[in-house]
Amino acid sequence: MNYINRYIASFFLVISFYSPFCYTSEIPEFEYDHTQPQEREHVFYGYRERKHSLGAVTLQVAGIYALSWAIYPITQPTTFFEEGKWSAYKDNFGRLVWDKDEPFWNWMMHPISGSQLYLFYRAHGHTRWNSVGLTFISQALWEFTVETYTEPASFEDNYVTSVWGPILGYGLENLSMHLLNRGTPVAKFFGHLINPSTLFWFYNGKVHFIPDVDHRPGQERVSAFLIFEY
Amino acid sequence: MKNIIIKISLTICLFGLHIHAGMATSLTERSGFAMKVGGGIGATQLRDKTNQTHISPNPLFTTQIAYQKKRWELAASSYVTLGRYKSMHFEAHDSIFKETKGRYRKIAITPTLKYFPNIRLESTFHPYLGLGVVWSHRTYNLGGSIQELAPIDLNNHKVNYESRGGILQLGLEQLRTEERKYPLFIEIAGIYTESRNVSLIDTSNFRKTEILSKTDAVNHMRNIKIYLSIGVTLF
Repeated sequence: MNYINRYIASFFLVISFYSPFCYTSEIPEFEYDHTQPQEREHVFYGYRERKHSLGAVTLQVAGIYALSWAIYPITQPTTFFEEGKWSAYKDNFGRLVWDKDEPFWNWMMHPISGSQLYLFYRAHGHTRWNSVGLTFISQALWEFTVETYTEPASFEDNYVTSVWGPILGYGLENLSMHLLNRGTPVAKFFGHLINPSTLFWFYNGKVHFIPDVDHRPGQERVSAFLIFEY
Repeated sequence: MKNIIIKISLTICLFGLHIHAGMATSLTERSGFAMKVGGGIGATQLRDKTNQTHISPNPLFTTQIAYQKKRWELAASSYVTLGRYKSMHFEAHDSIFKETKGRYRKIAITPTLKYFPNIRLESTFHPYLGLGVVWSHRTYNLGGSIQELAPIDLNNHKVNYESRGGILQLGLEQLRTEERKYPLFIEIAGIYTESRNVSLIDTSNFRKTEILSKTDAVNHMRNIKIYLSIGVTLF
């Protein structure tokens, strides 16, 4: 079973490193012919970068931090409940070591985690370098304040998640945008699968809530539209 | 009296290769971060405590996150190499492993400082010189080795050396422009490391490796690595 995991992870790693040179996630500019009726508005997937307030960024980082504490005991129950203790937390806090984990964890799972963190921040509309920075902050919080419950922070994990993660994320970003913009259901399925942050409300422009109030005499009404563009 | 500034530039054509020195370049305007990825080949010389050496060719994978300011660049790089070895001597966990052979993997993380002199090759490539320190760890599989003292199932155990050393880089790099989305870099480098400590690892549990022991092993293993890598700046 472990070998199947390795093959799947290797496949996505190779594909995503290859993909940056083939595709782009930049939103293409289109000129609509307004003299002709449009049968259907084109929906293009991409990233629209925008500015965020400090409070909004803090909320995003705090959300990931809370999620880290929630998923740690769920994904690694044996490690968390058998090895985790607050006295170990005190010993591990501030320590930085080379862990000796297998390459599957250090060179596959950590970059994949880092890539998803990067894509999470990209989906919020951060620039590439802001997303790299926020990925570093989130993984540092994980390494130095969450995982220390069971083991000291790892030098290698810090680098691999913060640097290999965004590199892999960059590839997945471009590949997923290419697949999503193909428009076919199969391509869209795989596009969302490798970049699941595109399914959430914070991914720009794909979830709309539009209230509608009509004040015309005799036709007063209040309605709302909730539109998912997936 | 006005200051007089004299600038001298030189262009040499050597074997058809144009080398420009002293000319104004956009190097002086650059500022910002760069994420680079590349691959290549190298040769590693392993030398153990008994001065037994083994040289093996390796594939190499490199990543760099860098901050570039004018002619200087500060980078945090990683180099991953995989290879095979034979006839090595290890001492770990009160055991001696003689005439071992098998596979090894290494990751080195290196903060480096690069300098780009005012020279251009063929108007696009800028040479650079880089220096840095190296922290690395190398893990050796123990298949086919002979052990003494401690009875250990070799298939489920590995020897790991943590090392320190230095790196010297010499390379060529293109500058990023509007037209050139993925600028190229080519690098030749040498890494020298000496071991600081050794661990014997039990890998029978795939999910959680166990470090059986960690002891000092100053200069037990010395490695010289020379490699050629080619890569691009992604963003």
